[in-house]
Amino acid sequence: MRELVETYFRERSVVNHHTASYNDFLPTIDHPNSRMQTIVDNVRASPDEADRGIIRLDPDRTEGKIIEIRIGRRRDEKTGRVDPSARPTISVGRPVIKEANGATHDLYPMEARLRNLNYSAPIHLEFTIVEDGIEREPERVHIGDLPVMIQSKKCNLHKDNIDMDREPTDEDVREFHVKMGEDLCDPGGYFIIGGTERALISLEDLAPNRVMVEMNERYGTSLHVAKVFSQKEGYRALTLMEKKKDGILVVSVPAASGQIPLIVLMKSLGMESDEEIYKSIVSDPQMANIVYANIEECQNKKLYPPNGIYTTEDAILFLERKFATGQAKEYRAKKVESIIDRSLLPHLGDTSDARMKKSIFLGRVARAILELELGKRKEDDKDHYANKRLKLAGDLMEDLYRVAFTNLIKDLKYQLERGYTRKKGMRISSAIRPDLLTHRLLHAFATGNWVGGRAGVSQLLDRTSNMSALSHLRRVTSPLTRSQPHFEARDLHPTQWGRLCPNETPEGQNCGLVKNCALIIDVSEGTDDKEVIWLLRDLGVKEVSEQQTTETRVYVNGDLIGLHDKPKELVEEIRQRRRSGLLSHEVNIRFDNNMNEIIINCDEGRLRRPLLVVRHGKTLMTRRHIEDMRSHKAKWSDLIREGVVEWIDAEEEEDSYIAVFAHETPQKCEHCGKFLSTLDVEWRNPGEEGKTVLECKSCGGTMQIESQLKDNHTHLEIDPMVILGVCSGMVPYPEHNSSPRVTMGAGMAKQSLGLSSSNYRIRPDTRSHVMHYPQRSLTTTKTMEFVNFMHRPAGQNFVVAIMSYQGYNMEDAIVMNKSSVERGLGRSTFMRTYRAEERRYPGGQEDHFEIPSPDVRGARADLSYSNLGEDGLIGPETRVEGGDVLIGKTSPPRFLEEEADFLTPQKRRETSVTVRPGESGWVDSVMLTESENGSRLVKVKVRDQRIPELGDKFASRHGQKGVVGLLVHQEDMPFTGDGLIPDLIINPHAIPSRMTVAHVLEMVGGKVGSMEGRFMDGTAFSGETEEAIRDALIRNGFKHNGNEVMYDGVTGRKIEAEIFIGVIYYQKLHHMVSGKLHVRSRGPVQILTRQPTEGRSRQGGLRFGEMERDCLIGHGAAMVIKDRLLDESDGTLQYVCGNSSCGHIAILDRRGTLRCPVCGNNSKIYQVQTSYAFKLLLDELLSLGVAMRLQLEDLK
Amino acid sequence: MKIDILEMTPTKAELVISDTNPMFVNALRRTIVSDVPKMAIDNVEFHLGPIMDEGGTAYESISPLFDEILAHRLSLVPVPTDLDSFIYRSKCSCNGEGCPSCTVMYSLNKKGPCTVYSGDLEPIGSEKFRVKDDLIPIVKLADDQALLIYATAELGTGRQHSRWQAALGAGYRYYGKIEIDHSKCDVGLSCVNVCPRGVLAKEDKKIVVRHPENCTLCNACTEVCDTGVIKVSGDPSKIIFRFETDGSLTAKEVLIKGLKILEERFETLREQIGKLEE
Repeated sequence: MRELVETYFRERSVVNHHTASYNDFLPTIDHPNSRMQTIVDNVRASPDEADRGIIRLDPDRTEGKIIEIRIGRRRDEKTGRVDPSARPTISVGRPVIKEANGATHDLYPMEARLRNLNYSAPIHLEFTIVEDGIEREPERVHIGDLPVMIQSKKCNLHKDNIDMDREPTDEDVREFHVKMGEDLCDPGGYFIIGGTERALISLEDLAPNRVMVEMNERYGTSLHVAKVFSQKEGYRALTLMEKKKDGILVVSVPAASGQIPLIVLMKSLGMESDEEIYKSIVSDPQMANIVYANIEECQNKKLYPPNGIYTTEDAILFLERKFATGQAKEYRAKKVESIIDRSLLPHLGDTSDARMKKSIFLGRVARAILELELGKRKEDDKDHYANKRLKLAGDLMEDLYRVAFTNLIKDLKYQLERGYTRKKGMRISSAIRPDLLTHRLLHAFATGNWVGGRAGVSQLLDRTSNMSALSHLRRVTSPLTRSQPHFEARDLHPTQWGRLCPNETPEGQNCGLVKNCALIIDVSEGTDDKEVIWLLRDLGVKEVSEQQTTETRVYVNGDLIGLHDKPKELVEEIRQRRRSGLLSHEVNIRFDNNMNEIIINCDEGRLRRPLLVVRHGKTLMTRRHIEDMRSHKAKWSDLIREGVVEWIDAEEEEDSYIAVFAHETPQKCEHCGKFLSTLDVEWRNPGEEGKTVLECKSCGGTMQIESQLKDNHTHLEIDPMVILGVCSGMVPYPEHNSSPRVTMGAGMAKQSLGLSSSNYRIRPDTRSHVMHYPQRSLTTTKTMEFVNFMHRPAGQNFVVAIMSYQGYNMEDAIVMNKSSVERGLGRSTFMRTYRAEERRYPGGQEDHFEIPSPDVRGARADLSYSNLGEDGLIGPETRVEGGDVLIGKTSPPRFLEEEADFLTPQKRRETSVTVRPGESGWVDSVMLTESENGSRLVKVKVRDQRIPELGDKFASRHGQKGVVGLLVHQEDMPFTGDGLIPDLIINPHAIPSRMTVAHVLEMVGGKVGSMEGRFMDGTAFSGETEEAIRDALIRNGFKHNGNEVMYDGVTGRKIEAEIFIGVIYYQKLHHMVSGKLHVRSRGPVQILTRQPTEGRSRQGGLRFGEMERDCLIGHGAAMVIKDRLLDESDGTLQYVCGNSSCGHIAILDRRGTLRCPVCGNNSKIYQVQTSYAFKLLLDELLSLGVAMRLQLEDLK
Repeated sequence: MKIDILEMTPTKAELVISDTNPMFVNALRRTIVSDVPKMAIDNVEFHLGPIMDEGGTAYESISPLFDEILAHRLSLVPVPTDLDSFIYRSKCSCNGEGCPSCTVMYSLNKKGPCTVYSGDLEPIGSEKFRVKDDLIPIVKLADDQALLIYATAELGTGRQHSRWQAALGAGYRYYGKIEIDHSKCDVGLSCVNVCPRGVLAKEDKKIVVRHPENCTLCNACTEVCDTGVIKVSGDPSKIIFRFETDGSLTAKEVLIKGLKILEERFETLREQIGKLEE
């Protein structure tokens, strides 16, 4: 139902997941428990500090005074908890820029882009100093700058941040954005760092704190292993338990080498009684023997001298001996304490209070292994999306900020202790170093190297087209390495349905690892599980006393909370509460009948999808809802609140039975005989008893058909089209294509040129393209409406004929109509921005924008600077070619002490910015501004027209790509009886083997659309049907199959075969010949080897490689080899000492005499031709102390 | 040869040429598409720097579109052409410098906010060169934006560039020849329903060919007929020829000029052959 999708997008944008996540991180007035505040509340200046949110100075360094600085919110003395409604201590301002002269003013994104600034806002923190128990007034101090996400709550573009005397309307907001130079279709959700736009890529990770059991086949025997990725506050620890061959269960803990027997570990955690241990593990009598064996093994005196392990002391003593042999007693105790309290399962707690909990948890892990072995439990599916969590911008910021903030606090503590004197007192503002935090954050953003050693987290936002930017912001990457196969991880998993796009993934090494979100998704932000646990207790969930039970186990976020005897009723009750709004909609629940478990999740990062709730074969959505949605009265959040629609995670979906369609659509209207698609009928009675009543939209007649919803259905799909992502959603009729072609079509949509933004004239992107005449596609999809494709199109509707043309369209080449090209088909402009800054150097010297005077070192001829003005800058609309100077610039000499001669002043260097070799165009704009550190900054944009030429790449939306093979004059092209001439001719061989039926369908659809002057609907699973299109073709005077009789433009004769011709949307891809064309005859060489440089950008040579060399050897063309490898490469003439006992390289000295510097010989010196690389080898060996001697001989 | 004119308006022509062959009509088609000359804007000069209006307010000489796009758009505006009074610039007595007998100058001066239309092109000199199609949008100007442009139109042919192409949508088709074997026909009407052009109809319990001139030889009727009684073939000696113009020349002028060019061409050929015989 499209109304639902429309309603959703009226409330949320396509990048809502990022902005919502970032807003959750930001402290704002209406959000006191932000993640940022939580970090502050829980910060510890050192790992062994007991209290959180407090800096306690070392009394030894403060002359005995007890000084505490409270930075987090005040904690309750009894419970040690923070009052969640307390006023936050941390606050983030609005983005500002502090100029070099000290002035500050509000910063808007466009200024940040233009001036290479950081779009960041100051962070302030309240410090309360408590000196000997006396609390001082809180001090508010600037502690650093936080990069601000565009369109987030702190962004100056956000509705709430626009200063106006009234509540700004949507129109006001739009006007304001235009005034600030923004594109109205810009989605936001990215950052601006140093003037470049950076997107944070969502990370997919295994769910933390869950027990995962798996079976490893190793050397023919299967090994049962349980893993727990325990995670708390960014600290991750993998606890691994496995059953050895002899049945002994062992645990590996990070930071402790080797394995610890389970029973020993449990005893060391305080579970002394064997009975208790037995109860915490055994769930089935069959396991008893293994557990007995384990317990007995601990009592073995030989293995565990002197007496075996019975008590907690015994166990701890054993661990001390195992991990800290031979050290002092205190150290040993500390080491073991650190292992069992911090390294082992940290999510359960890091103090000794949590030991019992850990022991019980370990018992559960052991139970899971034994159940797996007994076949009572299946292996956990790592690729199941219930076991995955997403880390969005807010989560990534949280990780980064925690580390940066902890560093800052550590540094602050150190600075305060160092600089403490009783007289002066203490000033936080003078001791704190805000740059420490700021630089840490900026560095991570600028390089993409995140905390935890992850690279590529922040990436340069892809602005090739609007689609590519949107897709980039919805990307999800997996941390799995691309070099390993990981076949299962790459496969499409059924639980990805509706969450991740089944088609949009790159081809090649990243296939299936890099994914993209489906159209409508929600990533849970997490709610407090305590609320859920209280509710469960109210509903009669009992504490667990032993694992052996017939009752249903209830888990919340992976923790075993208790037992319940009526699971179905409990689940139903919780669902009802959620639907009626008594419980957060973030809570998802599932009853697993096989394992007899109830799984409740309310943690963060679960990827969820919306579904319509169905009860007793009826949707809760009624006719009234549909009408309210149409009249914009109902909002998406209302539907969630009412329980009509709910967000379902992959876990709960396992417990659901979901109908895809509520009813079948009849092929033809009973009354008017029109061919019907799902769009042509109106569901009159959703949510009502009895048969489904459909109304034909064209004639108004009603039809009664059987409902597809049965009593056991729990949900109904919102609309099948939402299972696709933004790029695949662009492909019309994707259900008619073979799947790989849709993937390719989605991939190519990201390379297509169009109108990427409306502010292209002011944007300072290093490279950008804009198409001159972009068009909306005639065959549209519903998805396009939500991704603004109508306003930011990327492609044109071409008249395409499928036939051969003189063989010039073989192997995916395309033949193009030259006259169409002359009329503007496929034209685009390429823009490149060059930049230069008047940098300042140590020693007071700086760069200058000027026309370099002839005495500057490396100055060019006067003619090169003729385009420049007096200020050294070129003027707009000047024609420039490769190598022309755009910005005249001189720099101070590189080495100050280079010439000791004080009489001649040192020469400045010429460091002008020139147009890239091989490129040309007109200067579009010249911008002069000031950078953050007050030096002058220039950006020159050069634009160049790109008219389609031989070799340019074009593609339809169905993965049908091709390069231009021939441009043909209009009169030579085939034409129809109406005088219609195709813009493009593609080869018929491109269709059958690739099975792109949708390509064919789009062609006829486009034909109908252009004849009837309307846009066709090709939305996935609900587009206009083939039958309807055929009908329309006949109506418009065409043959029903889209074929037409054509005449040869050259001979004038009728072409015997009927030609399939239609209108289809083609995209110009950014791979153009003019950006790749490369030749070299002479050119630069590398300094070290004197071989030609590599790569087009360096005017490099084309490599004559091994295989090419082998070929010439095969031909016996020795002189050609010498020519390629020596004369045209690094051939050099060297003087060699002919003394047979010497054989070193000789030199031609200043006086013009030849001599050997090694043996002094100056008579027998010969000239030898060799490659410079060989000479380099001699020199390098020489530096190793190996003397290579050349023994010369006469040619025979 | 016999010519029936089905339609002849200033911008469209449709003729039936009988007793001819496709090669001949194709020669005519190719000539009018690529060899009939017309005027089109070939050179555009843009004013750079601020533009002042009478009140002294300064406008920036910039538009949302790049200059080369504007120039290209202007070049495609149909310019009224008088073939008798203009000659090619390269063949003109002014040696290509541009003079009233080979070029027409236009000026365009507009200040934003507004939409610039083709009608805003002011011919310098005679009013008869004013663009007839005056509502072709060129560009939208925003506040503080202005355009000051001098454009020169000259003669050229479609072979050089399609901005000099006078005839559009030029094409032809063979006249339909449909034979129905009435003795075997079961009058199933499927052929009547499937024909997209309404060529066939049922009259007196018989399928008849009512509009043979509409037939596109698509063979839909043949394919759908189970009894196989319909035979469709085109008649290459009878051709329906059609074309349109962009308005710079009338359809008649294009046709006459095209024929004249063909004539001249054959005349030259005859002269050359005649010289051979001497």
